[in-house]
Amino acid sequence: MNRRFVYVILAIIAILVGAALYEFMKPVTYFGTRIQPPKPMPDFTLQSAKGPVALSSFRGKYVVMYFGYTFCPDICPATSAALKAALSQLNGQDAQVQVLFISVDYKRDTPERLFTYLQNFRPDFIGLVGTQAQTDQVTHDFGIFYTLNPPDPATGAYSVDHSANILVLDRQGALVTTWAYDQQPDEMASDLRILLRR
Amino acid sequence: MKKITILVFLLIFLLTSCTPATSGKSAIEVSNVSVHLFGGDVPAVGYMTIKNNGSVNDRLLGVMTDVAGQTMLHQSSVDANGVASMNMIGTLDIPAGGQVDLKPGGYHLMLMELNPDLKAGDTITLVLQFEQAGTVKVSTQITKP
Repeated sequence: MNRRFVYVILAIIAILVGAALYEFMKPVTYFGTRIQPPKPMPDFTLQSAKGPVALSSFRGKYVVMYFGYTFCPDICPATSAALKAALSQLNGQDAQVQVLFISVDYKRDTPERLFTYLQNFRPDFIGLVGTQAQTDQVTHDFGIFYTLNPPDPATGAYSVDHSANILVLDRQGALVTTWAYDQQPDEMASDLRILLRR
Repeated sequence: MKKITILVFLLIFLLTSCTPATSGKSAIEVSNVSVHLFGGDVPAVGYMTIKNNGSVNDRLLGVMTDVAGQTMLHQSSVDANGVASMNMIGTLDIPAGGQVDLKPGGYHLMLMELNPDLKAGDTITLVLQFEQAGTVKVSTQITKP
């Protein structure tokens, strides 16, 4: 009777150990595109509503960067809202992630306009804009395409075509991941949780 | 002679009553209307579902509201290289028996030159002009994104 009891206990332990091993060994799902090895990126300084901001000032944090413009009322807000939702799933670790929204509309966007716009999402999102030369340099360095389309003759309004992917830089400022514009918040949160373990 | 006249009228009546589409009507139903306000002089965006319950094709010709100097119909898209673009479209076809969604990443309204006093919580009226159905008015409460 005692021996049977021992066997049952041993079987339960074996099952638990097996389950733990499976959980530990199973391949981790990563949703974004991993950059291997991480690619060191050049520094830049652009204007925020609170003064100049250098990318290198965020060393020690993960940086999530995306490019857009405030006159884009559709795709850019969707990305901003998705990033807000992703960060809210990090259970307090979101303080280790800095989101930067970089404007490609150097003619219309101002640091103040970006600030007002981003307050709709999270107050800690930082909006940055520069001169045309600075915008050209940063987009070139980070592999971002953008072009200002000709203004509508009747209204003078113009749109800006731009790469809509999202870039993730590690604590040393190296590019580690890119996400598509429609990456789901829970997928981005899952990737960030994996990155933040490092 | 009288019988022939009656027969001719009966024939004409039967023929016209069997003619499809052209004798039908557009019946536009607009739902899920939302307008998001970003603040400052940043344009607002509008989304909605437009359903044509009628038997003829219809077309949205434009949208007006007294809180915006300009209201434009736009289409956003992202190409295979991940490049996002936004194009103004003059009109939007609403097929008979069909439905067109104005939603993020696709068709949307862009409201520019907004009344500076406009704020989240305000109720605004959008006046949609259709080729067949004429004017359709919808009201919605403005929200933050």
